[in-house]
Amino acid sequence: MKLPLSLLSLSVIFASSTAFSATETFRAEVTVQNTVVLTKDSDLNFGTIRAVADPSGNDRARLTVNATPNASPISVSTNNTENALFAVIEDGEPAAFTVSEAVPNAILSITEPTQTQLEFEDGQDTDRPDFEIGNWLFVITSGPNANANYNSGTPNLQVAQDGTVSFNIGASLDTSDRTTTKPYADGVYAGTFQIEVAY
Amino acid sequence: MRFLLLATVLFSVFSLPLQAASTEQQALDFGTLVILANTNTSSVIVKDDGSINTQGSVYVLENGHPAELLLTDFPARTQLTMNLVAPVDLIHDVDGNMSAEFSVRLNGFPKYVITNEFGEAKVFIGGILTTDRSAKAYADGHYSSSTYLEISVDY
Repeated sequence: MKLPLSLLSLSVIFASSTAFSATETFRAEVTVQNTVVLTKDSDLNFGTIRAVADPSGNDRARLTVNATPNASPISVSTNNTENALFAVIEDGEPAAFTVSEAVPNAILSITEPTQTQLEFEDGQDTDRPDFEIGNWLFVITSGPNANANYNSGTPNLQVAQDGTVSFNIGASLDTSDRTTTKPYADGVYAGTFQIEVAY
Repeated sequence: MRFLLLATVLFSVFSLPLQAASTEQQALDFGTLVILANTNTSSVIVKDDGSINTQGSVYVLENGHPAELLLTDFPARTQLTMNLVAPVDLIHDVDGNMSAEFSVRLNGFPKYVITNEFGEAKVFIGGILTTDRSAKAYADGHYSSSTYLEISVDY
């Protein structure tokens, strides 16, 4: 009688001191989004113009599209001579872009395009002049620095609280500096340009 | 002899391993982050109550949340003790080791919970996500890994 009772006590004591352990698995995750979303609202348009290039390429006229919202006039021509000139028939418009899904209040920088030529869309004739684009100007149109010119030396494209910021792009168009024998052809001159916006 | 038999039965019953299980209601998610510089160590802390803090050059675009686990098939009204496990690395789902990695340490969870009458308990688990100060950049995308929680029951 004594032996079974002892065994019973021993087994209960053993059981009560038993520890059970288990491992439970689950996932841990994170998403990185270091790029911002850049949406083009409108293309840069120099409008409809009369353009004359200096056949020698020495004189060059310039047409500038103002990036400031509601500027009047939007397109302004300068350096017009008898040899090279622009005359605005129909006003152009600046390009417009919106950045979204960015960190509120973050400062973004803009890398301007490197491409410089506008070519005749129906096929470039080597004897005809082309256009050269440059002097990119970015005007911030929303966010804390709205209406300020973008400063590439000290970037000031600041994102608003809702994670967005918009800006316009203006530029100048110069007549060709090449020696040519033919005038500009009627039609569309265009080019594809890339900008980059990053933290 | 009867007592010996009873003792053997009792011993056998208490020695059987529990078939405990868990269901992941939601993963431990540190959200969507922007990591501007990888020269310093930055971290994101998600606590078990859902509060979020950051340190260093990291910005939270979308908030994350703690993991939610439903522990089942444990003894009823029993204290379950949670134990810390080693940190795990979160690796880019597509780029793998080509991208920098994160380290995750679980630290935001209760030391113990009491199971209900059905042997179930719900646990929220937070953690600290730390960036890896390396020459590699953090590529955009999803980083993930499986981790685990060690649970012990004394009975």
